[in-house]
Amino acid sequence: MKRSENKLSKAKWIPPLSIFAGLCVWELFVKFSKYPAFILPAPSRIAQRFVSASKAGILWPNVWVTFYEVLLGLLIGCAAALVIGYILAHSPVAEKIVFPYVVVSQAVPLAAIAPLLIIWFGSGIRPKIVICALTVFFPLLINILVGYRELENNLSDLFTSMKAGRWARLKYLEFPGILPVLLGGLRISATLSVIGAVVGELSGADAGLGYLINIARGQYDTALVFVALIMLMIIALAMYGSVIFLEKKMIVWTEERD
Amino acid sequence: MENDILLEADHIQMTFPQKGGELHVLDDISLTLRKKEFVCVIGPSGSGKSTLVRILGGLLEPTGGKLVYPDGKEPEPRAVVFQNSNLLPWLHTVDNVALPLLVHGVPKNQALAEAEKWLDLFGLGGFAGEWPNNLSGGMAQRVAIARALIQKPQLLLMDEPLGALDAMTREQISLELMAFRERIDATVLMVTHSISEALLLSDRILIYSGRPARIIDEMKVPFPRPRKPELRDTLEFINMSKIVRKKIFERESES
Repeated sequence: MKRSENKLSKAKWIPPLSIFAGLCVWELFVKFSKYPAFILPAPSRIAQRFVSASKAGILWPNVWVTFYEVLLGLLIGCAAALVIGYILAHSPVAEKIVFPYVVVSQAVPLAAIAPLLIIWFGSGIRPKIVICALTVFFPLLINILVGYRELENNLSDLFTSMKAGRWARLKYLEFPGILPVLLGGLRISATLSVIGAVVGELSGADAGLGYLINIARGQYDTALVFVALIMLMIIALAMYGSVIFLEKKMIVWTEERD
Repeated sequence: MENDILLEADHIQMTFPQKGGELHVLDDISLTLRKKEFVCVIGPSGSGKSTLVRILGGLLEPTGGKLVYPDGKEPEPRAVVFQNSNLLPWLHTVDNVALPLLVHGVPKNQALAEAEKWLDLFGLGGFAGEWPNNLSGGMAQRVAIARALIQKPQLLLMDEPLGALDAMTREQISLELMAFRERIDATVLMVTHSISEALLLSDRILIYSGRPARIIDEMKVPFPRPRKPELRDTLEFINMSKIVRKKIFERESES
């Protein structure tokens, strides 16, 4: 019993099969419950809508807009978190000054600031990039600071005794040292940033998947809402997958064996 | 005037702030390190020997007293070997050894060639491309020592470098250290718990008291160099060990 369980836990075909089975149940449920499509469309209907929306040219331009916002927001948020994290980690005073804002900002729901940002930056893609960047920035900043705190004092002593400069410290000690925590934070932030972009788009936009959802909902085109949702999922998974890929490429040293 | 004193610690005191008071770790430590001398500090654990190493290594400012450099300049480079190997897990063994050179901008291929030479000297040539986490404790500590020696330090500080190792590895590495001792002309200060290690390696032994720490006695090690491992089996060596042991424990029971 135990042995067959172990064997099954390694089988690669189980997750896709599970998804397929779920879709079948969904399809059958819709078929027999006779819910109208504007309440719950069947997977087959969503697939048809995907094809027709692609052909009509209303899907992919919006996908690209959202993807662009997410990517740019992620890069900007990440870069800002790295720079500010470095400064805060090296200056306790700066950390004391800035940290209250970090904590407060964590308590403010982004959905609530999104309208404000739209007022400030207009309804184009700029406010969405800002929201994405903010979504990414704070968790990442906290992870960077935690990473710095977990760097061993002993290793820091080693660099002091070698009279290493700032740059050498950053290159050989700090960056690789915080990399695992940093990428762990990025893994979460990457998917969060998709949420950030959609929240921004739902609060007022003229393009993007959030905008598409708004339009489709207004027309009771629920199948199109699902198409947009699936595209969002794919973007989030792609971001997540890229971070995993980075982790595999960059964290090549072996874990401690104790 | 040629001065053979490298460093003098002048009434060093160290007190750490602590919850509900202060922790008085070093109480008036004065010592002199002469150039190219090998000095061992021996004493009970928890007596602030690591604190002393950190002060001498310039990693910690003493709260009282000062370090005096008769030459007018600090001994550079100053290398520290810590109790745990402190290798960077994200650098291959060879890069870890090369690190002090890389940090100071030595071209990579030159630094690595030098590092491989040192690894070979420690019999670790085959482990250059290994991750530190795959090394045994003894190997890791050898790498750490190689990393210190590659700097050609003027002052080498070792804080119980073999303390975390098993007895056999410990003995082997102390013999290797002895062989190196004949080759490098660094001033070495090594903290240890092992009397025979101290006698085998050093020119002078400083005996340390428990906290707050003071140096309670000092003795010259009379054995001529180069020394051989067989020295440990001689009567003089055994007698010397007895004397050191007596000095440590007499003071212990007095206090």
